[in-house]
This record gives sequence, C-alpha cells and structure tokens, in this order.
Amino acid sequence: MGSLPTLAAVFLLTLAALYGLGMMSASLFLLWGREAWHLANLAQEPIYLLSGFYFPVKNLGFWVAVGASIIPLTLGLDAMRQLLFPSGAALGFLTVPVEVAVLAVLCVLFLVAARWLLGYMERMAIREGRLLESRR
Amino acid sequence: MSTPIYQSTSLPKTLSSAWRSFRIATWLGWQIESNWTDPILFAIYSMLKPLASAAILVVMYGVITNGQFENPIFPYIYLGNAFYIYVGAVMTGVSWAVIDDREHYRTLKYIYVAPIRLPAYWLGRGVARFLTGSFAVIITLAAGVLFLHVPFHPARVDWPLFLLSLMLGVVMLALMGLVLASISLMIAHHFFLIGEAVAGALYLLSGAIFPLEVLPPWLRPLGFAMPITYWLELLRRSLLGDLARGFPTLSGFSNGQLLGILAGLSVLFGLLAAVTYRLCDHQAREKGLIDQTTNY
Repeated sequence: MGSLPTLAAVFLLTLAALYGLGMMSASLFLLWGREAWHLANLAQEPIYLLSGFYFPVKNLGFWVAVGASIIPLTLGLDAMRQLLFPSGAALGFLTVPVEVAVLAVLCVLFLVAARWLLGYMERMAIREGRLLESRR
Repeated sequence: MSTPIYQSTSLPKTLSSAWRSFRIATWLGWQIESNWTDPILFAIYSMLKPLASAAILVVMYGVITNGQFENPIFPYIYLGNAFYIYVGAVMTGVSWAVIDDREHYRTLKYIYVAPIRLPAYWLGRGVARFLTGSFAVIITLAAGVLFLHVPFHPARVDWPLFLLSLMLGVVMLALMGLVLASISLMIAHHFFLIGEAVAGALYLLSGAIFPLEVLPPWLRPLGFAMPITYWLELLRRSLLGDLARGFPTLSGFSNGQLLGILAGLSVLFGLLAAVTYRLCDHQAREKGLIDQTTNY
C-alpha cells in the first residue's frame, strides 16, 4: 500500500475536480430545469461504466479509457486502487504521478469553467427572469 | 377525517370506479413520465440507461471470468439482470406517485377528495414506468442475443409459461409497490426513491445475478421467501429451457409448483398491501400527513 497522505491527497484532488464538474453541471439546471435532472439521472450508469467504478478502467481499452479520463472519478479511482492494493499497479491504467497531474489540470479547468458558467447563467437567469421559475 | 369521502357500495360500482381510476392514472402517469423532453431524447434516455447498466455487468463478468461467455452462468446472470429492471420500475412507479403528488405537484389532498379509488390510482400511475421498463428489458435482451450470444431460440421458448409468469410477476411487483406506496404516505420525502431502495436490497436476495447457494446459509431463507426468486426462475426456464434447470437452487420444483408458489406469495402480498394501505391511510389521515410537504 502507498503512503496514507498520498492516498488522502489523491482523494481530495479527485473530490475537488468532481466538485468543479458538479458546479459546471449545476448551471444546466438553471437552464433546463427538469430536463437537466433527467439527464443527470441518465448519465449515472454510463459514468459508472466508463469510469471503471466496478472494474479497472484498463479493461475498456486504451482509447476508451483516455476518453473516460475526462471524468475525474476515472483517474481518481484508478490512482487510489494503485495506492491501496499490492496488485494495483498491474491493473492501473496510467502511473500514479501521471494520473495526479491530469487530475490537477482537470481540477483547475473545471473550477474555472464552473465559476465562469455559473456567473454567465446567473446573469442570463436575471435577464430572463428565471430565478423564481418553477418548472413542473 | 376518519372515513373515506367517496365509497361505492356495490361490487360492480366499485370495480367500475377502480377501472376508471386506473385508466385515468395510467394516462396521467404517461404524460408525466414522457413530457419532460422531446421523443428522440426520451427514446435515447430509455435505451442508454439499461444498456449501460447491462454493459457494467457484462464487463465485470468478463474481467472476473476472463471472458467465459459460453458458460451457462452467463445467460443466467444476464436474463436475471434484464428482467430485474421490472422490479425497480414497477415498485418505484407505484410508490413514487405518492411522493410526487404530495410533494412535487402538491395535489395529493385534491386526489383524496376526488371520486377515485386510491390504490387503483397508484397502480395506474405505475403503468408508465412498466412501459418504459418493458422498453428497457426488450433492448437489453436484444443486445444480449445480438452481441453477446445469449442463447435465445424463439421456437424453443415456452411462450405460454413465459407470458403467464411475466403477467403474474408484474401483478406481484405492483402489489409490492402498493405496500411501499402505503408506507410512503407516512414517510418524508428523501432523496432516494423507496422503490429503488427496496429493489436494490432484494437484488442481493432474489438470485438475480447468482444462485442462492452463493449466499450465507442464514440469508438463504430470505431469498426463498421472496416471490421474485421464483418469478426469475420461471422466466429463465421458459426462455432457456434445460440450461436454466442446471442450477441447483430450485431444481427440485416443477414449473407448476413454481407457478403455484408465485401465485400464493402474490396473494399474500395482495393481502399485505390491503392491510398496509388501511393502516397507513388511517394513520396519515389522523396525523394530518396527507398534505404535508417535507422536501428539503
């Protein structure tokens, strides 16, 4: 098993990137209302499948795993498995340092994009009077 | 408010009222389920979710067994998982209507004073999910047959047994949903759906993706007490024939015996649904829970 602080750091980094992605998606709820809720629900299983939630993402093949890496959960889980299990490195997709670097980039990218998107959507919602809208 | 506001006395009137409630609720449920987007997105939604769910299971199976898709356990798992879609869909469809009407649309109090039969109304609201669930089951089965070589030969399928089991099973699931709908009258609106939560718990116990022998001995009786176990076995036997009989869990039972057990347990759940509805309805009226809004 890798060091506990490294494991905790990867966990927090993954969580921060997921927060950024979640905040980006939050702006869609303002735009689409109930449709966004269903789309979030729809995305659940494909994300479980692509992120390697139940199996090592390596098994999906290189290019699918590369595409799935846009979801922070993919590389976060892969890195944490590598740090936790003795056999993790053999099952891992990329090396832990590479995965951490990509996660850090995703984290910054998603948080910046979330800030911009939420600001944009808020301005649009104020302009169009959607803040108090209740779509059934 | 201790007695129902609307009550027919004669049986034909009761049945006519129940049928009308069921029919209108079916139409309403379909409108609610399908009106949030355009038909194309709705079709994609109905296809992508079950296919991704089945793909997770297939990849997991492939990783664990090193791709032994010819093993008889694969169709056993695949069919169990495909038909289990009905469990979540029907139970959630029926039980979620209570929360949806009470918390989201805030119309449950009006429905209570309307001239309808509430249990029939809830059953009707579940039909929409049954239809979308059927769509998902068919797509999942088709993907299994076309791409994963799940053995399916229409000429060898025992169609009468399949249709009878399917019908009986859906009725049984709707009655289980009715139990949950009655309980929903008493509980707050949580993020999770009670139907899906119960379906998730029963997934482990009903032999959907593994024979009950895999469970620890002290958990097996729970599996044998669940009608879903017998329902899935009947569906597998009707579709796979001798291949399904190779698994030891219920091999000692004939098809007729399994149908009898399933019918008996369904009647039992029907009685349980009636008792639970009376109890929960009474409590909800007494405690003023009919028009509560607890969403947070």
